[in-house]
Amino acid sequence: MTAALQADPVSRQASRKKLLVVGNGMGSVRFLEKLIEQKRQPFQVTVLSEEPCPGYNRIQLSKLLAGSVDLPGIQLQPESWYQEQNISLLSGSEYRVSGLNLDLKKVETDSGQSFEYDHLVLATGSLPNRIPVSGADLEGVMAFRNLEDVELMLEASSNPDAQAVVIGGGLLGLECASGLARRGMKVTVVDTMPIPMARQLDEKAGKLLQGELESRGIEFRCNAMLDFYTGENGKVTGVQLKDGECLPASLVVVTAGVRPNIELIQETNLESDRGILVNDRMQTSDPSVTAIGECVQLNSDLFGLVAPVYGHAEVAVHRLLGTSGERFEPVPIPTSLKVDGVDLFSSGRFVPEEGDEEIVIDAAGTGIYRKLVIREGRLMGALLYGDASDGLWYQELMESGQDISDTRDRLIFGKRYLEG
Amino acid sequence: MAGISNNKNDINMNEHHQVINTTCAYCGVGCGIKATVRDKELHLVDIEGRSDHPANLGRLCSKGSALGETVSLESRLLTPFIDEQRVSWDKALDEVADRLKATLEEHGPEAVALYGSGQLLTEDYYVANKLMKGFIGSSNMDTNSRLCMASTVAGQKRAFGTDTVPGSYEDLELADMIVLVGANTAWCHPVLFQRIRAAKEQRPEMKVVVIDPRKTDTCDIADLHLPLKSGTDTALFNKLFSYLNKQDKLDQDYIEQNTQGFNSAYKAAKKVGSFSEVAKVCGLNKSDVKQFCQWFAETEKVVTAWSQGVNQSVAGTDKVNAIINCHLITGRIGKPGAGPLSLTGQPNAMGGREVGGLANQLAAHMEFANPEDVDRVARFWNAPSIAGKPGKTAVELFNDMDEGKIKFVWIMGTNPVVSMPDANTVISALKKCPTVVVSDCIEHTDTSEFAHIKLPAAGWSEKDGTVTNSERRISRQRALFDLSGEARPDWWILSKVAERLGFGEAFSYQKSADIFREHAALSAFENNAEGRVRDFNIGALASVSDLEYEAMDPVQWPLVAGETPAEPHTRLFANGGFFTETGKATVVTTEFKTSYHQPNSDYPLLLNTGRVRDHWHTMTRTGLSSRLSQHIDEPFLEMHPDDAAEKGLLDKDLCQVSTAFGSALIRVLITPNVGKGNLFVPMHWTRQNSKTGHIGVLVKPAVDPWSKQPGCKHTPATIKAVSVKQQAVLLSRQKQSFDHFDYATEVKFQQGFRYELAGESIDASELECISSDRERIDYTDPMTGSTRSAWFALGQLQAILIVGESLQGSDRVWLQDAFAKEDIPFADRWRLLAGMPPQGEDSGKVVCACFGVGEKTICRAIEEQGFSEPAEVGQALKAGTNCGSCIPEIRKLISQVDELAVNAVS
Repeated sequence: MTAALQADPVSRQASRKKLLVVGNGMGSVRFLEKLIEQKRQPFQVTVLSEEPCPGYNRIQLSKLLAGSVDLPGIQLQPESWYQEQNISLLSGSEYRVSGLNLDLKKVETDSGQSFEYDHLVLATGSLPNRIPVSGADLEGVMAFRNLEDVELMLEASSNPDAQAVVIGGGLLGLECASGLARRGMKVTVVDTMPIPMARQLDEKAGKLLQGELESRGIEFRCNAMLDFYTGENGKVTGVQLKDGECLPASLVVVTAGVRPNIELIQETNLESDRGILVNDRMQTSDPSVTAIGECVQLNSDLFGLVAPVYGHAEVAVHRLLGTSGERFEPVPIPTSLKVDGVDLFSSGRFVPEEGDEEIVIDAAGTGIYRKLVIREGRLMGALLYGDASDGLWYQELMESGQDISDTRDRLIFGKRYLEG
Repeated sequence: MAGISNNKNDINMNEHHQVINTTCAYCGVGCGIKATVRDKELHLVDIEGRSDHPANLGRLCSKGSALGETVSLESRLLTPFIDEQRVSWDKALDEVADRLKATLEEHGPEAVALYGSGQLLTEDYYVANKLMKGFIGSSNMDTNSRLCMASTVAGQKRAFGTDTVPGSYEDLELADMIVLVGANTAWCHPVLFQRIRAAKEQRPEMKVVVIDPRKTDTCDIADLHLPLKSGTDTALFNKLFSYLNKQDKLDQDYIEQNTQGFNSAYKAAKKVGSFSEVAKVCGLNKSDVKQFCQWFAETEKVVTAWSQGVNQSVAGTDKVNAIINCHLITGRIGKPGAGPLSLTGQPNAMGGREVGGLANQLAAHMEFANPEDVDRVARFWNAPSIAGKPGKTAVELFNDMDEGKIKFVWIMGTNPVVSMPDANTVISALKKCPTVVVSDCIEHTDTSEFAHIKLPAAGWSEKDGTVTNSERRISRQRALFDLSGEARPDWWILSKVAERLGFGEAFSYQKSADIFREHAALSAFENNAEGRVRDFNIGALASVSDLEYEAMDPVQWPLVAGETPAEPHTRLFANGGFFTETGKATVVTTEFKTSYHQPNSDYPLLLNTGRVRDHWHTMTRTGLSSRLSQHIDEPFLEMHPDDAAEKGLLDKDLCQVSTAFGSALIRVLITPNVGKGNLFVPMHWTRQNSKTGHIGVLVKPAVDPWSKQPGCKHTPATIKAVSVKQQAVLLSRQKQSFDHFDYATEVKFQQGFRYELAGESIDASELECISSDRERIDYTDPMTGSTRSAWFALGQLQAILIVGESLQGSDRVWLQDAFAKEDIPFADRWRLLAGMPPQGEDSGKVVCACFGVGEKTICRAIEEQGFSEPAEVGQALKAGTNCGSCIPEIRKLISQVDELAVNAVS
């Protein structure tokens, strides 16, 4: 008799098939929600999570850091919801899963408990990348991935002399820097690129964003190479750049991207590459095992944004219940986001290539910048800074490939200027 | 006493606001206005139609309704200037008098001229005429009425012996048939049009016939529109004459007892031949000509009303007589609902004619041709050097000036550089003339540009006196505000110059009432069997007290002293009593001749000129009201679709129109409402507000042999497509010069100026007053060459320039409104570069100027609520419920929307 069965007080459910979910991040919660939506779902569901509380919206961790939301505000479903839905949620470090036996169809936790399954869903998410330079293991050098990280940062920021360096000027890095600055810390962002968010913005927009953040007290070191971290007594004291500058720091947050968390399956026969390999119905090489979210790899694609992860969840539910033969189709996902109150949208080829035409609105002084890239009467890319309200509409135009020549003179002003 | 009101209601205090009855500044309808002065200092006044004024009975048109928006001090001339230097009145008056004296001494009275205006009040006009013809001894005093009503004056004098309007406006309501000839009454005399419309709505059987080469908005109520060829009116009315004879519809008794010349006239009339021949000459359907003649023959109560289409013609006087003939021979004159009725163009053209303000008139309907009249006037005025013969009429006057014969000209209240034909000659003449004095209330006009001395005249709302409208009705125009700056009434300026010339005693007027009494006394002076009986006699008013003058109610002349007529003189001549030597009217022989000025191979088209609904003359006043510029804001050239296609022109393209006299760059408006081979341009735009839309330069200066009125509506012309590299619209809080552009039109709006531009290249660096340090935002599309920029300061939009594509789509009204916003949020600013509001908010081009209701708003209401009548639209949106002059357009929109709906269904 397994712990999972013991945990179920209703004996007649003993005959139901056991569905075990590992992980309780955003993909997992969406999976559970979609499952519950199907009125007569046949499974007895158990969820194992190493985090101390029910799944939360990881994207909003920066807001939690900045203090603009509290923890209940970012929780996806309250604990009571799991009870109401008869989902057995087991969370805490003791429920970190450390072993998987595909033949016996069971998993084992750090604390030695094992859980059998008829069907396993892996939603283990991702792990932050580390930069392997000297001093990377000093205390105070950390990632920004979960609640615990937020707590550590808040603790660090409570020291009045605390200075922070954020490595990486991508979205997460900027949000982290912005949050820390709001908590009163002196923050410097270090990035190898000439502008922040270089993958989503062109130079003009990048400079605008940098200027906006600088006006809020965040400093930037662009085109900067990290050399090593300095430390004393095991604690970080600064960030040494290759140009010779040393930035004093009691906290260093490294935002250098993430990689799929596939530690659990390393010892198994499940096929994997950078992530757990799945087909377009989210099935792994073992038909009893499904994987969704940032831990998977479909063909050569990895997934780091929430929209495809939600797509995974839906496809997985349908496959498990046999309700439809829906397949996951990766679509190009635009970046539509808000950095410290600045709306941004970028999609497609927003840096023009030879032969492309561009239409630009430069209202930099008012915090607005827009650029559309057009080729042969078709929209190829869009970059919106400050007002991203039409982003999705441009996305549709790009996807449909429709000829925009007739409305070209109004196109950049958005949908409201073309309808009717 | 006739004409004197006993009640003191003409000036009244209503709560805290002063209510003043006055008369409109614009056309010859002479509508009564109730002006509620809200703030005398700030020139705030509410304008309403005066319900007890017989001309308008409470109605006002869009122009009149907007008078309150034109009385600010913006653009006013407020001090005298000599050679652009501000000077005192004393200095200016001395300078005028000295130069006048010197000219007289050196070159004699023939070298001196005064060019007045139908905008002058009767009292101003009287003093000007007296000074020139009685004391300076020159009859070189003509007025802009020469361009307007001279052919009617000549025609009426030839027929009746005097320049007398036989009927009244109420005949329009009593008639069973109204013939409107060469008159876009809907736009040019809107209140009379409303009266006709109302009458026709009440009695739909009443027939309205419009005779006009163009299909104008007046045709909205027409049972029959005869789009005759320009200049063929006489052929049509001659045919009517012979048809009436053939059908035995003549009033033989009236002809015998009250007319002369019938036989000769009939002989000439019947030469036009059969209906087929006339139809061919006039370019009309034979059946339409027949229909018109039949209706006229069958209908006893017919009013034929005409305006500039008849007058502004080299055969204008004959046209007038051809019309009057048909009324004389049927005895349909001076009877309720029957008679010829000239619709005067200007607010006081009639008053001017009464004082004798034209070069061929002496004074008070007395004539140079009559030596006793000359002696009579000289005695009355005690004039030292009365002129003995007619002087130079407008076109001759400026030609003489160009030839160096006129060395001193005083231009009062008019803008001949814009209004005269062959404007290039007028400009050349003014440049040559050693002394040009301009009295005006506006500082910068196309004419004042050439003035050596500028004198600030009181304008409407400040001046005080009388005007006479098209039905012989004298009304008071009263001051609403004190004189602004150093502005003075024209009569005061003239009297002070007279005083300096040594005529102080004869010009010692203290107030306009003094002048009015003298004018009234002159009209009655020896106006009897012993002297000479004249039509114009207002002797009954010669002894009005100042108070009575102040309170005077509108009144029709004649008003003979001591005579108490059973009823007022609403109509004249029903029983003859003409002012010819025989007492009989003359049926004038009007031989139809093809115009000498036919199109030819160089100039194959015919250029017609005219007015738009919401502007007046040269826009110096209406241009100040942003509301009035919303209906039509840019000069345009109307042409038939076939002519446009032949030249490869599309609607709204720019086009070069040329005549033997000049050329202009102007925007094309393609419409079947003008006939093939015809062009139409509005007359209003000046060199102040348009780089090339000043069309006076195109117009042939040929004149009618009798009236000397120029034929402004008939100039052979040619058109050529013009390719301009770039077009743009600029809106700017500050005035811009148009030096850098090939084409530019300036349109005033509440907070600034809008410029429609075209040229080789247009970029922001060419603009003045827009410094680069202002917050600027830009739109660029290098591929199409479209650029747009907007400048901000202190949270407000300062200027916006839209170059290249999407000009047509730019919602100018919306952009103009953006200038009114106090603090435009950053988030909204970039959207201004779209040039239009997001969908759903666009109200479209303004149709109803009174309530500012846009075309799109109206169309939506029509579509959504299924309206089929303008009245329904009015109920829902108020559009068309004030002045009503947009009702034809609303009707058009209803039919357009219906058509779309029908097309959608089928």
